[in-house]
Amino acid sequence: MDAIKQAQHRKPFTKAFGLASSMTLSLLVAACGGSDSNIDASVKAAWVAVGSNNQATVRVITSDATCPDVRDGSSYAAMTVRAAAATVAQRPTASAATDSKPSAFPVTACEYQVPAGSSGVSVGSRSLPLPKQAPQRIVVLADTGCRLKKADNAWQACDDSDSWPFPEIAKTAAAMKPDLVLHIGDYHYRENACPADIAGCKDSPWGYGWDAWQADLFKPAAPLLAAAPWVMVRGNHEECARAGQGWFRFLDTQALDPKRSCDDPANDAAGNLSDPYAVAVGADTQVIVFDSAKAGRAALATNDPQFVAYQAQFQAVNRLAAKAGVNSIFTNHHPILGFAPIAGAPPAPGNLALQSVMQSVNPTAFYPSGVKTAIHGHVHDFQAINFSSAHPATFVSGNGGDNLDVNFADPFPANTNPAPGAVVDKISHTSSFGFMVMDRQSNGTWAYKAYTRKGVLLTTCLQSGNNISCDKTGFLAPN
Amino acid sequence: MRLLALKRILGALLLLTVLPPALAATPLYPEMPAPAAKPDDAPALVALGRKLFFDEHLSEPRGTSCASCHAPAQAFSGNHGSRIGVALGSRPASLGTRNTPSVLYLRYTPPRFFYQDDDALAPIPFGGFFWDGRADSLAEQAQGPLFNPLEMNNRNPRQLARKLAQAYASEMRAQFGVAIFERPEQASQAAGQALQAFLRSDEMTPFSSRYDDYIRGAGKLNEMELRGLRLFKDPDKGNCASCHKFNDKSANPARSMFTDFGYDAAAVPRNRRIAENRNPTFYDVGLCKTAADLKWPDSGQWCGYFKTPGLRNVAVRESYMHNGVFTSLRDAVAFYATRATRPGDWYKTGIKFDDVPPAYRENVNINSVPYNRREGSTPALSDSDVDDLVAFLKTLTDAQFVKSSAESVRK
Repeated sequence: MDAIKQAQHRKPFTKAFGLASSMTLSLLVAACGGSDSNIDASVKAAWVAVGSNNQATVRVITSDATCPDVRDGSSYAAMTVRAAAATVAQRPTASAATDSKPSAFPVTACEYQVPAGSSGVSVGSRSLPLPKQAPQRIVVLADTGCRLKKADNAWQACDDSDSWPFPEIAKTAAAMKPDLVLHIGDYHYRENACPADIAGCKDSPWGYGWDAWQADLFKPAAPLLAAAPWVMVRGNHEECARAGQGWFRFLDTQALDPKRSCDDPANDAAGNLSDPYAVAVGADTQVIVFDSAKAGRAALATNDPQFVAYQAQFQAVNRLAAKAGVNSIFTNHHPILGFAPIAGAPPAPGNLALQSVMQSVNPTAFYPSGVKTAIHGHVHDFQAINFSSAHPATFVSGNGGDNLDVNFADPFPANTNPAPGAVVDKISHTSSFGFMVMDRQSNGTWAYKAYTRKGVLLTTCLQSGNNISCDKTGFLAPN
Repeated sequence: MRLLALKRILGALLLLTVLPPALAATPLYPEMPAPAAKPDDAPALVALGRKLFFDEHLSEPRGTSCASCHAPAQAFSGNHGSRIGVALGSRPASLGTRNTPSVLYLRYTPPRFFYQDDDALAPIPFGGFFWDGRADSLAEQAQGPLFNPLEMNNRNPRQLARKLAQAYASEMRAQFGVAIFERPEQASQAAGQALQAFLRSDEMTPFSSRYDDYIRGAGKLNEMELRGLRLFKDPDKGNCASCHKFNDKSANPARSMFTDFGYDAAAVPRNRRIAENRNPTFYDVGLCKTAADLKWPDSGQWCGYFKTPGLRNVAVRESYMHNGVFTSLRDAVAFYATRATRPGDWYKTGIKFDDVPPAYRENVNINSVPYNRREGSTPALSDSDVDDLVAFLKTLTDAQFVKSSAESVRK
């Protein structure tokens, strides 16, 4: 039965039994054609994403050509097609043309904007978590995919939880019953075909189509997608020449615009930028989401179009962060006042491209005063940095599953700072696999906790203004 | 970001996407090379190379062959009777400053190249032969010992060509043309070509270890060995695989060379049995000498770096590390485990990194697990973990060397 027919069957029942419990309703619907189970069989992923203006959106990926209905409270509503099934012609990618292929999306991406005040949403038999008024616990993770990259000769064993622990991390984090999940980018790493002689990744989907997205994100993350709504930040692995097509089809929270879909490389300049937005986390905190997917590494010239575009976006960040009485948490993929470790050399500073623009907007401070915390991924480790200068506490939570970076030296090299004027007071760090949890404290501030992939607590950092105090500093030994 | 960003920043190249012309001799590869295929060397050339390898008449004075130091019984490593960790040459008391590496599996060592993954801040070097990568090919490597005064000590190509002409005239002419002896330089290089053919032959890539059986599904490892394997891979424990790269999920043993063909500054203790090391101002600086010769920018950043050796047959070697400072495999593994946490166990003078020039001690890798920890803290590896790792490493011994391995253990 296709979805339209299912809907035609359902709606009269909905009207007639508006007060029926969801279980009774499901049974009745099932009795009239087993539609929930049919929907369940077709639905490959379902979750709730939160975007600008705190808009919660139900997203469903189905193998059907049409979208299932969503049950919102006691009513059924139609989902709209965000992206129909299609195969996008091969485009230039980060890999050689011979190691690339067209992106096949034999699935329909559906969406439904949840109205304020909804009492609950479900699709088929899946009940989906809606944003809470005052989230108490937020899971933060990034850089979660399984690396299959020919150029690096890197073939992570995607079938081995010790080699690629994201499925374990997702389960561990889901068991902590978060109210919100914050993924800081780099969801997709399966870029090239696994060589036939490597069993650890043999026959893995690859490229930028649905199958690779399903293997890298939707299947392993299913427990966490079911546990809480997600705020999704874009990483450099989701820039247009990489997994940008899937990013816009599935994850981006703005309306899908063909000119920003990454399907046509002629539009990449537009597709690699997104306007920043804020998501309220209760009345006193907001998360500002910034797209730095194509930030690059070098400082930008002031007449560079990317500088001009980022400058306007950071001015928008200033306006978002000007909300009185609200603690703003800035999130983007590339660390700005964080570090990249280098063996046998001092750590590299934060992203010079973003720093160069931010200095033009907020000289010396980099961030507007409303930003008390910044959270990033990209570097595959955990960092918690407190500054003695007036800069926001900075976290990096990029140890979510892809191959790890090296550690920093312990003790951390003296007089090493991520940007001019940003003076490090203390840093806690580890390059063990894991994730971060933010727990709201009774005084309204947040505790930031680093966990191993198995859920062992490594450190707790308490916030006061734009400072943090962690109970352990230096290298956080995971064992 | 990820592993390839780990090693070292090539400062002057930070913002460059291509290497400057001065580095044209060391190419920037767009991707890491796949395992080398079997070379198409003529069997007669391989046979000639084999004869040359074992010929004791090619040294000066005669009596020392390539195999004298690269002894088959020790998996083509060894030190020619020297007991100080570095090899004895053809002349009495002619001792070098470096441990003799095994010449097995060199088929898979690529020539020198730089690679920069898209997240890395700068290109880093890989490949090349010798501990310092100064040779770009096996044929070039083979020339080194033939003319090194501390090794086989031939004065010049003319002297070597005379010896080759005496013993191998017909074979050399058959392989390289009737005029091959008219130019001694060419005859010498031809010998290098023949040695290269032998060194990359199937005989020198046996893949007959218990580990190879294990990845092929034809054998099992015991519990201790499997624990060692897990520790070898575990990024929180041994983390050995971050440099000694391998893939136990592939039945293709060529994917398990136990090296990434890169370089690292591990700062092994000074070997005080080496005569040159009695001079407090003498230091073997490793890759930076090659970097300077090749005019890489800021060559000093590579001082203290030596090639990451493959670990196949590591248990049958008689000494370990580039300077041969360790005589037991367990010590070599234990060094990694406690270099950071108990440096006094290793640097007897009380000076950390005492075999690296003071000016370059900041080059030493103090980041990678297990040597990222603070002095006095708990090591990432326990004593029993070290034992497990050693047990695993012994599974890398090819079948024909297993007896040697057992003898080595008894030593």
